[in-house]
Formats: sequence, structure tokens, C-alpha cells
Amino acid sequence: MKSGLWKKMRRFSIPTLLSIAWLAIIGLIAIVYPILSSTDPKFVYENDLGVGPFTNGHLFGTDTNGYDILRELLHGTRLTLLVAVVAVGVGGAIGSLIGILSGYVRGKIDAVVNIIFSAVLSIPNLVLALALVAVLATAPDVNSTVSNWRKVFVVVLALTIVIIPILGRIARGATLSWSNREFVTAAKSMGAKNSTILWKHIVPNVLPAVMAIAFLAVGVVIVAEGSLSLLGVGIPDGNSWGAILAAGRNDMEYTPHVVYFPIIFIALTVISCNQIGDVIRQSLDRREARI
Amino acid sequence: MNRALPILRRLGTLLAVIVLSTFFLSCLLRLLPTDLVDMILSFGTPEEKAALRRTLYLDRDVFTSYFMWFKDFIRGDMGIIYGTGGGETVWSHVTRSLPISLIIMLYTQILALVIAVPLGIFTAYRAGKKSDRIISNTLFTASSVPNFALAFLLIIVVGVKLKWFPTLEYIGFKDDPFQHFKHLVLPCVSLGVGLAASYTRLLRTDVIAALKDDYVTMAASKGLSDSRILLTHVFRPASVTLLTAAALNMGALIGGTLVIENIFAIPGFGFEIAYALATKEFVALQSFIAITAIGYVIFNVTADLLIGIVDPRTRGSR
Repeated sequence: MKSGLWKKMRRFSIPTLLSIAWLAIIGLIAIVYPILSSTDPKFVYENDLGVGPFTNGHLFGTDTNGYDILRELLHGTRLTLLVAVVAVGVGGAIGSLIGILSGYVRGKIDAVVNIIFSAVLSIPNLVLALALVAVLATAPDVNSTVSNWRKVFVVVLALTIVIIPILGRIARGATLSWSNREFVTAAKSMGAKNSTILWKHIVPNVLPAVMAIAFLAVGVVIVAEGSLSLLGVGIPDGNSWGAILAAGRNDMEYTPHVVYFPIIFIALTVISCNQIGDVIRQSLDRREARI
Repeated sequence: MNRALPILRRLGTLLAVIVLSTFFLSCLLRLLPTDLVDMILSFGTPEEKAALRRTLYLDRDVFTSYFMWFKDFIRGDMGIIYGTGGGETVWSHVTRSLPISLIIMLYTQILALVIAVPLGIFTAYRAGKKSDRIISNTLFTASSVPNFALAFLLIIVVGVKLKWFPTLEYIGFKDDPFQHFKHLVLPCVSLGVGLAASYTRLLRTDVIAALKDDYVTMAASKGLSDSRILLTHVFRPASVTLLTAAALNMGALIGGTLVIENIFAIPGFGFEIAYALATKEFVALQSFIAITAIGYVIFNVTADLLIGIVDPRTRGSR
């Protein structure tokens, strides 16, 4: 088993290995860092306001508030990844469920599902997320403010809703093509139950295609979350990479490193996700070609 | 009749999608945790509030109010911006800001094509060689870089440090053509690089496939020149892919333009949307987003129809 895994790893190209390594590192940071680190990410270094990288023990420097950038970024990793993973996980599960069922049942239900997906997809995903956040994060009373947890929840909910039709449509398309295959017809003619065919024949073939796009979707969600922060409606108070970037952009001229580092984190993560998604898709294509 | 039928069916779907997505926005407005009328007129008398409720059709049920809204919307009557004291209509904001965004998207598409077409053909010709591998890998990375990340890098390096290009403001073409282009270089480059990268990748795959096709061998054996083959036999089918890619990337481009306009302080449509968001102008926001959705759908359908014109092979299958 272990040697098999090693063999598989050696087949990957260097960019793919680097992508896996980077995702593993930030995944580990997201899980472990908030547990191990007892220091407050918002600790103010009063003597080091807006210093550059590698000064006084601040590896990435500090911003004009005196926050240590590295510490903020490491701390923000958890929320950034949590938003992305939850949005894609939940959205992907709901989308796949709807997509697979409607693609398998076909007929009128499928036509309706398809038009609803098209309607939601007809709104560019960032614009849809903005609209959802704008509506859902409005305080019930003019004078009250919205709590930070609610803001985070609303961002996750909005991005989940954005993901549902994207992955749902992929699952539907894959189901449509797989349910026409000979082995499905064979299973049907042997009197297999619909649920058996779905579980044994459709789902195992559809899920890899959804997985490939899910990796791309993680990238999309991270970019969307950053964009929402830049537009001022994302996760508040520098608790995610996008939020750190949004807070740093005002002092971009004086402390450009406050912008550089979140950008590098976001870009590397998105590139890694796309790379892995692409590798999965290519191996699927090769498998398709063989069948 | 036979040929018109698929087009008619597409138009039917188009209409259904537009109605559904705008209806969806209408429902979203009803989901507001607070009363829209109270929000706009927090200190109004009950009579004023009742009057506003009537103008916004909030006293009717969801379906009637949606159709009343849609009727007004089609006629360009989209209500007013309440934050300005009612002095400015939503429509005036649309006509002022939408052309700016369309210009940015047009320039971005042109820029992306100018980069992608030669690179795509070049990498296809040298497929598998070292130069192809380097360019292709770089482009794959470039297509994954978020456009706001590129925008910030360009602002800091090219704008602030080197001072080659301005990083803020928009100047109309009529006011000063030179400054107009100069101000749009950085926004369009930050939007266009990712787009160009994904176009190049698709074009490369397509050109490689086309070069292997029988009709190319046939054309070559007829003694046609390389450039002739490239233009008439390879590029024509490949342009179908480009159209599809343009349609697929349009949503991302619209979202990207929205963010980029806010970063570069360009008073385009995305700026208006963000402003409406920040000031809670939900009435205006509904129309803004509806316009975005309708424009996006129409673009996709047009691209689909154009594909049929450019590539005769797909006509039958649609």
C-alpha cells in the first residue's frame, strides 16, 4: 500500500508535488496553529509600527497598526480555508445530489432543474455572492450592528449557494453521459434497483469529475472571499487573508509588504488548487480515452 | 422553418432564464431581515411610508410585484437613488457607468486576443518542445493568479515605484484620448493576463488537433501555403473555441471588472454596484444586478449563435 502510494507520487510532476506540499502545509497550519500559538494575532508592537520584513524579529514585517503580518496570516489561514472547504463541501454535496438525481431521472424534473441552474449561473458568481451577502448581512434594526460571527456565516452561506449550481451542473452532465453507458443498460436489464445503479455505477463514475472541478471551485471561493473583503463586505477585522489584504491596501504606498504577503498566500493556494484539479481532470480524460 | 426552430427554442430558454434570475433577485429583496420601506424612510410619517410601499409594489404579493417591477424595468424606469434625496434616477447612473465598464471589458478582450492568438499558434507549432513547455506552464500559473493580486502588484511596482502609469481615476476618450488609454493600461492588463492565458491554452489544444486533421493534410498536399492553411483551415475552427472560451470566461470577467474598478477607482458599473451595496441602495442594486445577469445571458446566447455561423459542422447538432 505504502509503496503504491510512493509510486503514484513519483509519477506527478514537480509543480504538482509542490502544490500538494503547499496545500498540506497550509492545511496543517490551519489545524494546528491556533491550538499551539497562545499569542494574540492582534498584539500591537508599539515600537515597530509599519516596519519592513526581517526587522526586529518580524519575519514579514508589521502593518501601520503594529500587527505582526506573519502571525496575522497564520491565524487567518484557518478561517480562509474553513470558508473555502465548507462552501465547496456543502455546496458540492447539495449540488451533486441535485445534479445526479435530475440527470438520472431526466424528463420534466431535469428540464426544470436545468433552467434553475442556468438562471442562477446567469448571475456572475461574484455578483451573486455580493447580492446574497448584502441582503443577508443587513441588520434587522437600523441602529443595531451585525455580529462578526453572523458576517462569517453569511459569507459562507452566500459562497455555498454560488457553488451549488456550478458543481451541480457538472454532476448532472456527467450523470447524463454515464447513464447512457452499456453497463448501466445491462444492470437495468438484469433488474437492478435504481438506487443500486445510482450507488454502484453512477456515483463512483461521476464523483471524480466533480472532484476535479471542486478543486477549481476552492480556488474560485478563495478569490471570491478576497474580492468580497476588498469590496468591504467580507470577513471582518483581518481574520482571513482577504481581510488582511483589504486592511493593508490603504497603506499600500508606505508599507507594500502588507499587501504582498497576503497576495502571495492567496495566489499560491489558488494556483495549487488549480494545478491539482487539472491533474485530476487529465487523468480522468486518459481513463475516459481508454474505456 | 427547420433552421429557425432551434433558434426559437434557444430564445425561449433565454427568456425563461432572464425571468427566473430577475425573479430570484426580487425574492431575495423580500428576504431582507428588515423592512425596506423603514430602511429608506426611517423617519417618515405612516402616510409617506404607505406611499413608498405602493411605488415599490411591496403592498402586493411577490408575483404581482415582480411583474410590475419587470414592466417598469423594461421601460427603463428603475426607481431613484434614495440616498441622494431622490434627485437622481437609477437609470441615469446606469447610462453613466455602464459604458465605462463595457469599454474596459472590450479593451481587455482585445488585449487578451492580441496576446493569445500568436502565443497559441506558436506553442501549438512547437508542441512538446522546450519553448512550448516553458510558455505553457507559465501561462497555466498566470491563469490562476487572481486579478486583484496582479492589480496590486502592478500598482506597487509599475504605478508607485516606477511611476510609469497612473493608478487611479478614469478619463473619457473624448476628453483626452492619450490619457484615456494611459489610465486604462493597468486595469486592463490585470484583467487581461489571466484571460489571455486561458485563451492561449485552449487555442493551443485546438490548433494541435486541427493540424492533425485530414483536411489540413489535404490542403497541404494541394500545395497551399502555410499561412493560407493556418488562416482558413486551422484558425477558423479554432476561433469557435475562442468564442466558447470568451463566453465561459465572461462571468469571471464581469466579476473581475467589478473588483478592479474598485481598486483603480474607476466610476464604472462595478463601482456603482459596490457603492449601492455600501449605502444599502437595494432598489438600485436589484436593477444593477438584473442588468448584469441579462447582459451575461444575452452575451452567451450571441456567442452560441455566432459559433453556428463560424463553424458549419455544429449547425446540425444544435
